[in-house]
Amino acid sequence: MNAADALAKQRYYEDVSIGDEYEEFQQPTPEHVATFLNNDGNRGPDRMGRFTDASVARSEGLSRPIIPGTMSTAIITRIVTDWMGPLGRIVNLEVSFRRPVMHNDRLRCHAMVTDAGNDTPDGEPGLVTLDVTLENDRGEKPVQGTATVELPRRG
Amino acid sequence: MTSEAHTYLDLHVHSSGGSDDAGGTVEGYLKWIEARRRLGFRIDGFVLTEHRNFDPTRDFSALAAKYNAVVLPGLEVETDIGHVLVYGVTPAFLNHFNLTDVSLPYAEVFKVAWETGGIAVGAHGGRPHIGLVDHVEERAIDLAPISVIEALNGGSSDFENARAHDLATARGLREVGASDSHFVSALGRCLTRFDRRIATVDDLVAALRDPAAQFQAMRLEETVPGAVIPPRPTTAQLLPATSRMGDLGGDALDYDRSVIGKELSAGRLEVTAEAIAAYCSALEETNPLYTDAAFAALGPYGTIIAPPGILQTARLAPPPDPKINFQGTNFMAGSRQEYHLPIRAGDTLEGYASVAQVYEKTGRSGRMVFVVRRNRYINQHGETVATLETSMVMRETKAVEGDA
Repeated sequence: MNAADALAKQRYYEDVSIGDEYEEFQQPTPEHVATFLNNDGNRGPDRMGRFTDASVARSEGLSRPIIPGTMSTAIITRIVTDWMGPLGRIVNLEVSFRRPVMHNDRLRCHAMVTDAGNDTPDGEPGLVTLDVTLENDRGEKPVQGTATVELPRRG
Repeated sequence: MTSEAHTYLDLHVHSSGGSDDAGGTVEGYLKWIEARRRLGFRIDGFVLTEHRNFDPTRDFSALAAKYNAVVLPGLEVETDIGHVLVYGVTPAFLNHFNLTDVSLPYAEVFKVAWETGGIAVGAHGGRPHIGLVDHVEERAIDLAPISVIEALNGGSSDFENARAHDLATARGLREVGASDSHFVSALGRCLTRFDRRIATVDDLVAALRDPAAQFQAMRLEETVPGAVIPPRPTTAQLLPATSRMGDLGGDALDYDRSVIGKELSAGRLEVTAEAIAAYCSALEETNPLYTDAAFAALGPYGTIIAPPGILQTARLAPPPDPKINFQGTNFMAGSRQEYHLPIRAGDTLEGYASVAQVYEKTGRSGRMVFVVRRNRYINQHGETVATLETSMVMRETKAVEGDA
């Protein structure tokens, strides 16, 4: 994406209000997991079993291989960065894993603004808060989080 | 009766200031109430029921009044029949129990709560292991000390709620509803309507203890004027359960407490322009602040900066070993990332690793031990640029999929 296209998607502090929603859909496949693991510097081969191998997953009490938590974190981070645009900044992001995310789960990645528009004086950072969740098509929300984002102001 | 004579309270809410796994702040919840009210829903307040701790000095009454709502104090403890909410927590109650014990004797919790002027309520009754239905079915526990259960819980599945509702119907228990929120937008999803005004925790306790008081579990959609409240589904109407868990067991948690908070120098990360480019290419990152030198030069930082995720690729040495006496399967339970300052191309970061916390709790899969590891990154100017915490949970290895 060139800079102009990226900036066209910029979100500004003045344009955000509580209750605003944003969603994307993702379906991480075994191929996506393999690509992610090859790019993930922290991951040793001994930790890969349950993320790729059905029999290892079953031996650990899982019905299918699961998505690495770091990959779920990356997916949820991407919702926030896609929502905010290139000039936004993640101040903090807190994520809680309630259940495993399984291979091929169709995920609704959802962001909901829970705080915005607090008459912050100009010049102060424009901070907004989002709840972010991954929801599978079994109606479960295996990953939930909250993010504080600094957005640029118009003008 | 007019709606002013009713009170709609969410009786089970966790906040980031008191519960390890919550992200919502008290003010965030209050703002959310304000926003929900604008959409026509009714939420009059909520009870903070933090996990395994009660801070009597926390008082949100002034803040709550600003939002024309009530925020009342409560507690969620863990017992040998699952999690239990306590309202009207007194010093006498607190003196009686070690709140961090994850297997408190339930009969005593209910009895002492009652005798000290409060009331205990069985939380998320239908959840495997941590709700009381399992314990009724498997061990026929005595329900005499229990009068109220949470039979509609915002974090439970429909089937789990139906199990609790069935038990309440069969055994004459009264039902409350609550969201079990850990994040702001879940607040009020389920709640309880009382037939009277409730402004204080004493009002709440009096209503829950009074056999003549009317209260009803409901969902947020049902608080809209004129909404029809359908009968709660029973388990017979829903699919059968998929899993059953065993009893708690094992030794008390033990570990080397001397390592907590001790930071070890854990390695160095050279954030070169090439390293940023390689990371962006692998993750298809297209933000021009990370990828376009000419654009970045005109931007707020004057140069290319690193995407925050690049810190996940640092190969840091582990923190000191807390030597925990618990074996199980490790899962990632959560993460907390704080970005204080931008990381610029050319920065050299030093990593420091520590164990922030070790603790125990119970979930759908049984006993769980959590270890929170913290990595702090300092740049060449001595500034902390980011703090990343990762919470890992060791669960007993069983054939289950869910937890917490």
